[in-house]
Amino acid sequence: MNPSVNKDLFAGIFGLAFGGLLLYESIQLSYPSKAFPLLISSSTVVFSLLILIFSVLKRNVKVVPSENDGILPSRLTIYIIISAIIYILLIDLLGFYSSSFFCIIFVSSILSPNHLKIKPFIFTCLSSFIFLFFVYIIFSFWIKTSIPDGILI
Amino acid sequence: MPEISIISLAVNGLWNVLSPYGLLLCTFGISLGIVVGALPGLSSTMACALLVPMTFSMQPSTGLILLGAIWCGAIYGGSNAAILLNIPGTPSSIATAFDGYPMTRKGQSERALFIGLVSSVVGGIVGVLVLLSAFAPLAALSVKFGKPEFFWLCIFGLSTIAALSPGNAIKGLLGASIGLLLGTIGLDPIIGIPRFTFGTEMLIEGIQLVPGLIGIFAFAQVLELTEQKSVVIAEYKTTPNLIRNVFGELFSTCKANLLRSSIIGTFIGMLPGAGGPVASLVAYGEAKRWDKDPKRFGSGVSDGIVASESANNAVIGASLVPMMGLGIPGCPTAAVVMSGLLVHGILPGSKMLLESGDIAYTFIMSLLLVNILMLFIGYGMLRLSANLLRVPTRLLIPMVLIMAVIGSYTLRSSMVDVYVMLGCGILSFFLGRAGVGAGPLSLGLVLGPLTEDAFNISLTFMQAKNSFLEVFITRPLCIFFILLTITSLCLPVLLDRRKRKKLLLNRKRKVL
Repeated sequence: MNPSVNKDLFAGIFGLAFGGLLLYESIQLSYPSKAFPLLISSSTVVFSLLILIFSVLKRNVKVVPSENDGILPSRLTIYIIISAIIYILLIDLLGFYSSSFFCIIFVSSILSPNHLKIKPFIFTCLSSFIFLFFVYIIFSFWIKTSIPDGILI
Repeated sequence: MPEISIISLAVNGLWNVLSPYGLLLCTFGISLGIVVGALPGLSSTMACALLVPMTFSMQPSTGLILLGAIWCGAIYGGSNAAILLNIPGTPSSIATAFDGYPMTRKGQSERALFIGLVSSVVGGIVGVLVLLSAFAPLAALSVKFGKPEFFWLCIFGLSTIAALSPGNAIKGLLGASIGLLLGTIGLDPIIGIPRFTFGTEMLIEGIQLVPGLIGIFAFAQVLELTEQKSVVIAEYKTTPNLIRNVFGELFSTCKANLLRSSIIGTFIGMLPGAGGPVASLVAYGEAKRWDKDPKRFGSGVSDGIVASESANNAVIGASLVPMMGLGIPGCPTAAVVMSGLLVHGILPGSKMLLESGDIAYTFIMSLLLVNILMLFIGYGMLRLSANLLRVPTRLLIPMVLIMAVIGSYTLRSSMVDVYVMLGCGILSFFLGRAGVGAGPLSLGLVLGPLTEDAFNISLTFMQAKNSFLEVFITRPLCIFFILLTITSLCLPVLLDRRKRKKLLLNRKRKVL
């Protein structure tokens, strides 16, 4: 099967589900709230259907596969998504600066396990400290943004 | 007002700005603006809003010089992050990333940054010259631009989708419609009914533009960089004869694009509510449409950066046209600057020229000087910014993630915006893998609330007048935009057909 069909199928199915759900929700709304969403969600459904039809039509077209054909990301990317979610949840618990410090150390060690030796590790700690110091100067000291606090800072 | 008096006001204004204190304020404002603009989440509006209290103790004209310098610097600064990291520092730089980042990947970061700088300066000067020469008559013209006309302008803006999604216009349309739908989440702007919140209170206030865009560009870029598994984003190479090269290219091959994009930016900037993001995306789309080889856009061409940067900087001067002429701010930053004027007891509007002409012209002349100074200050900071490429990706990825989080949070001090950023980022990443680009998605998100507002108000007019044609079609500016949209959609197809016919004819001749 033509590898780009997978991409089209994903885009079409996602668009159909998203557009269909919001189309259903739009119908429940009263006028004038529904006018614009109804127009756009029905367009989303139409575009998704067109993508699906074209993907079925071109499934037998032979194309040389390339590296970027897959939809699913690498395992490393999934780890980064999970780390980002944990980091964001930790902000409320630990505080912004401490969770950010741990985030830099943790994410950089996932990305490059070779740097877990003492010297590179100290370099990472130092870099994250300097970076967070600048963040503090700009956001907490100058702009005076209310940074989320937790058990730590 | 007699012409001679305007000239003398302009000369006096220039004299005020050229004082050592004025020059110092300009330099400080530009440098600060560039730094602020380069940080995702910190917009020119926020920078100006933060500095308005600082101007209370200053003379009105000096306070305005500082605000103008920060505004110009921030809009240009947004291009630095867009070019180097594929993360627009401000929403106005979305289109800059389309060609700026590919240039960085090719090792031409320094050239891309300098092209962005020179284009910003040219666009900025064009916008200010329009403001200087014709702000009173143009201000009167801008109020003739009603909601039906604005609706068609938004549709014209959406017609650039085809230009933003090479090879697959339907996927581009799908991306834009998803973006438009994301923009409708939250309270309905007319009667305040919650829409698409699925019972969660978090979504009642809707998806804010800045966190949404940070997610679409910054967080999705974090994931893209992870996928690439490279040690650094790109190799940093210095460009020999940078100044001569860039000036030569811009003023020979790109001059038509530079002028056209500056004019587009000036025109869109004058319309209240549109602003830099719309201007830069429309200018990019038009640059691609009028190019002899549109397929090269997106692969790292100078014209892409030229279009976006000249248009978004031209917006600055132009958005002051309705503000200074009528007291209607053209964009959020103009509203902040207007608040600075009001604090000093200066009422923007038709009488401003008569009552506070000296202050008005000092401000206008300062914008002109700021744009010229920015060329030197920006050039000085160019290599400093480009050194960002030396930071290893294992450190850059978590740092960008942290900047994305703090940038989203700062907007309203709300963790909801951080969750929105994360959600939009993951959505954009997966849609990107399915061939639905971030450009159409962001265009939809930017234009969504503007289009809906214009559409709903036009519908109300239509009900009151009981005529669809009279409201949506037969108004002269509506006709103009409808024709422009049809032309812009059909022209690439017609040109493509003509090209194919020519190719076929040439082949036949060769065979014969």
